[in-house]
Amino acid sequence: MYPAVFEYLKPSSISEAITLLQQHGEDAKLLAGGQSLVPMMKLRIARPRYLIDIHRISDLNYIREQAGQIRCGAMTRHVQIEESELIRDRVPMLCEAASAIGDAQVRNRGTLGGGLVEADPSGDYGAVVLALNAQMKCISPRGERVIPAADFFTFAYTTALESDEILTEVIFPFPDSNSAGVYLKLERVAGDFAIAGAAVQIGLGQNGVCSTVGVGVTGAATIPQKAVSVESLLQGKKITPQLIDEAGRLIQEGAEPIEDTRGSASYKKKALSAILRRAIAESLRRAEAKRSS
Amino acid sequence: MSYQIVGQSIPRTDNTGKVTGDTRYTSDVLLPGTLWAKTLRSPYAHAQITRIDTSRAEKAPGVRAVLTGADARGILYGRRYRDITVLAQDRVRFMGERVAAVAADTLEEAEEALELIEVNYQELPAVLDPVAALQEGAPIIHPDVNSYPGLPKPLESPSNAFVRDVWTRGDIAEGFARSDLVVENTFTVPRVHQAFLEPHCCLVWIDDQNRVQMWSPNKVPHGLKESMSAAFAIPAERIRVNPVAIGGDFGGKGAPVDEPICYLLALRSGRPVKMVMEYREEFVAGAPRHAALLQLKTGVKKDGTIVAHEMDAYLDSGAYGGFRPGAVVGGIAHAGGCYRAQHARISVSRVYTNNIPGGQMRAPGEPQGFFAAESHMDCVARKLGMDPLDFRLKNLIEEGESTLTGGHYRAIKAKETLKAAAKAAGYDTPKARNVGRGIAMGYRGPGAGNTSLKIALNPDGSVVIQTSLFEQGTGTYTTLRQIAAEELPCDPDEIQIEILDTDAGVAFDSGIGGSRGTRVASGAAFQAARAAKEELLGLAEKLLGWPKTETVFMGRDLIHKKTRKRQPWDDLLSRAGRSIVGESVNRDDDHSPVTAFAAQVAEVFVDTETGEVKLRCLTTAHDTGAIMNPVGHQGQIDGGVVQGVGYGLIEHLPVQEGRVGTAHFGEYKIPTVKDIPELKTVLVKGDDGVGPYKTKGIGENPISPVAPAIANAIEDAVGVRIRDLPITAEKIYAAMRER
Repeated sequence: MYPAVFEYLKPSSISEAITLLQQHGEDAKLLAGGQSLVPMMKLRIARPRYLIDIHRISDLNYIREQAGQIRCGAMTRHVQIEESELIRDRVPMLCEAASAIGDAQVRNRGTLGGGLVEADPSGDYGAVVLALNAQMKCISPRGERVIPAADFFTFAYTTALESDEILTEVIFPFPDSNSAGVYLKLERVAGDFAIAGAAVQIGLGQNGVCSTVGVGVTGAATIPQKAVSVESLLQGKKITPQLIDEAGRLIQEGAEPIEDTRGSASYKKKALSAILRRAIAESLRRAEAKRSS
Repeated sequence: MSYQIVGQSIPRTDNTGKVTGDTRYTSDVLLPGTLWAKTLRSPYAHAQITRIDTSRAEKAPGVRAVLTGADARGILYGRRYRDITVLAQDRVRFMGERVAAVAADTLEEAEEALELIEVNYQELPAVLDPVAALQEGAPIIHPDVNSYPGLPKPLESPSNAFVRDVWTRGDIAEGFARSDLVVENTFTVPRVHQAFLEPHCCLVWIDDQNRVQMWSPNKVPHGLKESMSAAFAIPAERIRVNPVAIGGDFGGKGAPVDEPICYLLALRSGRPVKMVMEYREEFVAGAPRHAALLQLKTGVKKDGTIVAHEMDAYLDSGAYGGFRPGAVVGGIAHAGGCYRAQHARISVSRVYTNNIPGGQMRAPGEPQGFFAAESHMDCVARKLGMDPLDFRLKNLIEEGESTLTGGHYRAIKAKETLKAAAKAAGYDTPKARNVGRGIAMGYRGPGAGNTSLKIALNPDGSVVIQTSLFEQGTGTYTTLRQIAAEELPCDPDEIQIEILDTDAGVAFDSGIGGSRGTRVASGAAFQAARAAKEELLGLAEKLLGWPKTETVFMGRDLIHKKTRKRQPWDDLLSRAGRSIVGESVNRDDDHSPVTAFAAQVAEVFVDTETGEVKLRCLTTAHDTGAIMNPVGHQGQIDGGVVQGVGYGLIEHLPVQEGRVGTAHFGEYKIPTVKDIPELKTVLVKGDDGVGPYKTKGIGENPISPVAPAIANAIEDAVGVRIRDLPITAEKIYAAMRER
């Protein structure tokens, strides 16, 4: 099926885009990579009357290093993230998440901002921005604001963005130099949304105890979760196999996954526990390797 | 026999056009005044239509025709068995059945008009699985089945099982009584979609001479013509199926699907009518591979000898049966297996339910049957404490023996093929923890059929193959060129292909399917090339006075042996001032005297914490005849294996309460390159086969053993048996926890 009739708008600046959003409110949708929105429109799950294509707005597609941060324009494609040496060097879990999305065609078109704003409960980027404590820079008629990742996701397919607000940039603070991270995902088939996914960044102090920790999980609930309970469990402790098991138990108890074609809720909880334990062990291994090199 | 061009890896001739976009598919064909058709589909699995009101739709902008069941009374269509209504006749039998149709100037107008059609339904009790459908008191979905044309045997009493085939040998009860051990298992397999890129589509136009012109991606155009002729009682010669490229088939593009409704809309509107199914419609109302339930029971002696083997297979045909060429699904009976048993009973029922109708897909019935049979063989071996390899080697049929469903073949290489697979896969080598290896087998002979082919040699030097086959994507035209080039001889690149459509006055062509392409078409090309050469020799005799017995071919020259004189064909043809045409109508109708075995070994790693399976390697061994084009042959093997991996681990059309739960490829997942591990192929080459080059089929053989090989490897790895496809991580996880 073709999408229902819509009007195609192509602003050339952010302010113009915001004006259009103001005019059309809930009747409008922004078109980023279109990899989820367009199929939803074809199925008529989404029926925007106005489609605002933001491809013509310059300077929304970049990966920059700036003052101890990596700043990615919202229109940065998955493939650019996957192939960025800066990101691979500083926050490899972001590369890993990008390369686990869809297939090459999807990664060529799909964008970081689009993936985050879609807020699929099983999306890959959500776990990563939560683990890395990223910040979402947004612009609206009321000016600019920064939303911490932990406050960004509000419900399935819903974010803290107002209807006239645009996500323009995602800011990743450099993780501590003594830390390492990983994104792991269990999937039915390569490139599918996750059955369960976990992003873990662990820093090790002098004595080998966990000095910094960030944990985000996907597939655990209606929104990607920052696993605060796991973070506080690990913080300041020497990470032992027993502690990792305890983390697995904690996440399994707290998870409330949605049952869907990817699995039953009870299975997803157990799968999440396994993936999280593995991600902790792997980021610990990477952090230790870093320390001894 | 050694050949120059046959047996070479010649690149496919249709590649470039497909990559550049030059290839013309059905949806590219547009005639002036073409209308777009859309159909309204039933939201209920089983219901009575109590009212249908199209008055608003008829008045909607751009609408040229609106039809309901009342406009299609008494019309039944199908490939040969005809039980499908063009539009529901007062009663809908599955969710997705066509209830009304609209043709409008634009697609959007057609879609909008559909929304204006009002239909009231009264729901009826639905039968949603084949076993329930056979129970006493189950609603009979087709009470008039005995009146349907093409039903193989009239039913004695009303039943949803409209086809039942039984093969018996010996005395099955006695066989079980004499067994030391009897093992029983029940297996279930889901529907899977062919996942071709191009959905079903067609363009139908009744031209100014009152002829029905059709464009359709159908690989059996003569069959389509006959089906339409039978359904609408129009003389076959009034119908023409025009050639177009087929955008993927995988077995699914042989039945009339959209053509009947477009014909009625074209008749009503007086305009060409085009329909392109949305992929959502493919998933909810296409004609996928049948879901099935299979019960197996095998009695063995302690030494591993199979004494008795019984199988009851129930194919869920869904609401209609006519999307298959015959009413029976022959392949599933193969799953009696390639083992000997003194006593056997193999029973296959095709059962109506209120689900989406089943259709035709690569090796119809075989992946279902072999998944059950080959999984079951492993279960029996394990119960006996025997290695599944040894158990199979003990029981596989040998020269002079027939299969349990009566297949007699010569040059049986079942054991040789199995041993080759086991050896290449390192079946006996040590394995790490949670790594398993599993074996499975299958077999299938090349299909029979008819085709017409002409080879024209023209005075301008051109060589043209005229074929009544429509290439469906397996490289048939490339093979035809190789044969013509080999036999004439000439350069294959110089040969043009011309399609003889259904107006060309050729005999019935059985089209592509059933792994018959290479067998039937190569015979035709060979004969036509020989005939053309004979004509050339005749011409040389007539014009040059060279006796036929003294003339030989060298490249594109004829050479008179005695005088060593040379004469290029084209000069000869120029002198004659005409083309010559070698012609063949190849009726290669007999059941193949050879079959081809496939044996596979899957190696898996199972993650015991999540149940996730990593297929680490799949080794496939094939018993082959001559191979016409190695790269094309390997392509069929790789493609079949990959599709088998999808069937084993990933794909299914989930149907709940009659509703198909996947609407697009975001949900209906098929394997991508990342899911595919190392694939090893072993060819057990032989010199027996069919046709002039002694070939065997390959298109359908590789798909069937994959899923059972994986299931068997999983049990080898972690000791759990999964009897239901696809084998998801969650099923393994649950089975491991249940132990």
